[in-house]
Amino acid sequence: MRSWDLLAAEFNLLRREGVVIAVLVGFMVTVLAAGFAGRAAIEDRRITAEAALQEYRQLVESLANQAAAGSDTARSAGAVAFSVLSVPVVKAQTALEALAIGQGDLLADTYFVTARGAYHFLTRTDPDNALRFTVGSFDVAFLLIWVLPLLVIGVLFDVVVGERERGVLALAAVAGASPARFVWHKWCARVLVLSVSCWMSIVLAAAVAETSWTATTAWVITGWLLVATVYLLFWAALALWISLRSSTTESAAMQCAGAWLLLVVLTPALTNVGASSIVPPPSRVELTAALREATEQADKQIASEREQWFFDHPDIKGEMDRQAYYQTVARSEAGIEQVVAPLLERFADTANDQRRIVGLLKYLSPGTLTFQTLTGLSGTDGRVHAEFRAATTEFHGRWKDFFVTRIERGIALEKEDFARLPLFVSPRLGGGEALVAALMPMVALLVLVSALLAVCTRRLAALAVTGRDRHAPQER
Amino acid sequence: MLEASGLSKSYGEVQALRHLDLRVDPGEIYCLLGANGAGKTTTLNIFLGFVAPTAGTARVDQIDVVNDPIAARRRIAYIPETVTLYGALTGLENLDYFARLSGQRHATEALRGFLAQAGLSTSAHERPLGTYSKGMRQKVGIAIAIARDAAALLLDEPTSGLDPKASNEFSEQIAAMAERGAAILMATHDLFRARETGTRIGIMRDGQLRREFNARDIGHRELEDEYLKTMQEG
Repeated sequence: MRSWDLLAAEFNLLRREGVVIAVLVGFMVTVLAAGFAGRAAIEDRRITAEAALQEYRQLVESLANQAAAGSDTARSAGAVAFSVLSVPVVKAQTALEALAIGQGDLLADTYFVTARGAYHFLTRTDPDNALRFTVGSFDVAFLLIWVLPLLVIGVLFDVVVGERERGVLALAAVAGASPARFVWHKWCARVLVLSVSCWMSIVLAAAVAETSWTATTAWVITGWLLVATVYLLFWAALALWISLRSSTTESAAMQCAGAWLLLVVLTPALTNVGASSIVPPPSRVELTAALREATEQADKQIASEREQWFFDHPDIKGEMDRQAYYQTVARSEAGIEQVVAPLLERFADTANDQRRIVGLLKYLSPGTLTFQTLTGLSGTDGRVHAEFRAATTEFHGRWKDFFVTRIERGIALEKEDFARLPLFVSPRLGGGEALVAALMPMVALLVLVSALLAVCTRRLAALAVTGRDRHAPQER
Repeated sequence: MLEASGLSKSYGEVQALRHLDLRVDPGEIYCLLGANGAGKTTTLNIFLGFVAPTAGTARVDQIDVVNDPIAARRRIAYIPETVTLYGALTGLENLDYFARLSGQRHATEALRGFLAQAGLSTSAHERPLGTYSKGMRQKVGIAIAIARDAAALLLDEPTSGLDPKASNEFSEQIAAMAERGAAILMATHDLFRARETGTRIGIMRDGQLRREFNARDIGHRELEDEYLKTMQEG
């Protein structure tokens, strides 16, 4: 029988087995739903960010006009910096972000930066929250990592042992077909059907989830398709290997389920536990206590300086002048930041260290490896968030300098100054860059796939087509 | 047609078959009896080329199964104990599938003819195999063998699990194939069926052919006694 005939016969078999088609269609519909959900989440985030930016722009315009009109508040750098203005800093939307929300639900995509210390906007997120390295939101990446292996296993676990039990392998061998060739064609046909379903699911989900199509999107979607295919091939090769070494379909099903549990559930969970055990995050209580103590110290400092100021200016009754007040605030903010900064640094270092450990341990689980790669491609992984945070911190420095310099020198804000406010530019990940980052993990997974397929080829060469001989060794 | 000479097979320490000499001529139905592990299936598997003998030769139509397994298999049809095949396909489609695997393409009418010869009613041809009884599935197995037009037929406990009526029908189909000139070797536990269907009967124990009879020369009771006697031998 020619190769094409063998493949066509297998396609026909799969078509006739309604359950397989129903499950594949169900998977595609679920992925599509995840695409819609992702788009809704991203759209929601975009609208919120857009509204904040719009509000900020209107406020800046209004302040500029007020400054031109000679308003004391608008002209006071201290008042604007510490009491009136906060700038929303928004992480740039990345290609196919909606397919892998990743850690976006845990790590901030927007900070509201003021001239106060970095602690002021950084502690509004959860710096000590365990990084979600293993489980993402209900998104397309989650479905690919968790559900796709189950589909692959369901379609392939009996590709050898089931055919042997059905007596098909023996009949095929007697019919003159090489059992190895017969099995390879069955495997290839099923893998092809699974791959096409997977590709269609991803492309459809991307079509509904992505709002702006650019060259980068094309790169990233190519990356997604490649990564998903390699991951699918890993499970297909593993299912074939298990099917080859099993003596009954029940045993093959149990072993496949065990492999899924181990590689998709247990190992990633242990990786997470390992990362947080090796590098435990600093105590949130410690941060809060330090922050409170530093604030109290600063308040005392302000009160003492205010007392001193009145002592030095006995002629003045009532309110301390605005300029002197904000100079005091600026100094106290600097004091608070000095105390809190090392702690915040520890949180950032811990997150980086954990990320590094997971970066190594991810090779223990194809699930974690693929999840990290997909979120990396979509720009929603911890690394991209860390870059965003670093860019925000750098921007905060410029923002603070802009105001604090004026506060210290007692320079009033002019209308033109509002046009010169520092601008934030979110770091962007290029499509090619994302693909290169995905290369190493995928090569590692491909090596594993090749090794598994090589072992399968060896086993297939000595394939027992019947399990009926009671004398033949059953453990293969 | 089927000939074993000094055939032996061992799996490590276990001697599955010891110096088996056997011959099945065209038109003959040779029934191999024996307990589990007696060496019946090993004998069939060697003829089918699924396992290689440790010593001795097995020939199908003068062709050594070790030297030229593909040519030997071309002359063989095989019916395993359980013919499950593909439940989602109809009897006709299953038959077409396995015929194509053998490199044969038959017209639908010809395929229907093979199924009819195997005793499968026309109304069942278009039904999915998943809805068939075991007896009906075995008939599809016979139809596959008929379609191959093979000179030799090997059967491995084909009537196990069949009700008496289905078992009787199965025997009739086998006998019809023998009448058409096929050499048939059947491994079975069913003494009654062996006596009714077979032309010769062999009783195996511990990989050896201990007794051989012409089916016409031995009664049911006598066969049972001989079988039990063989089982009790050291």
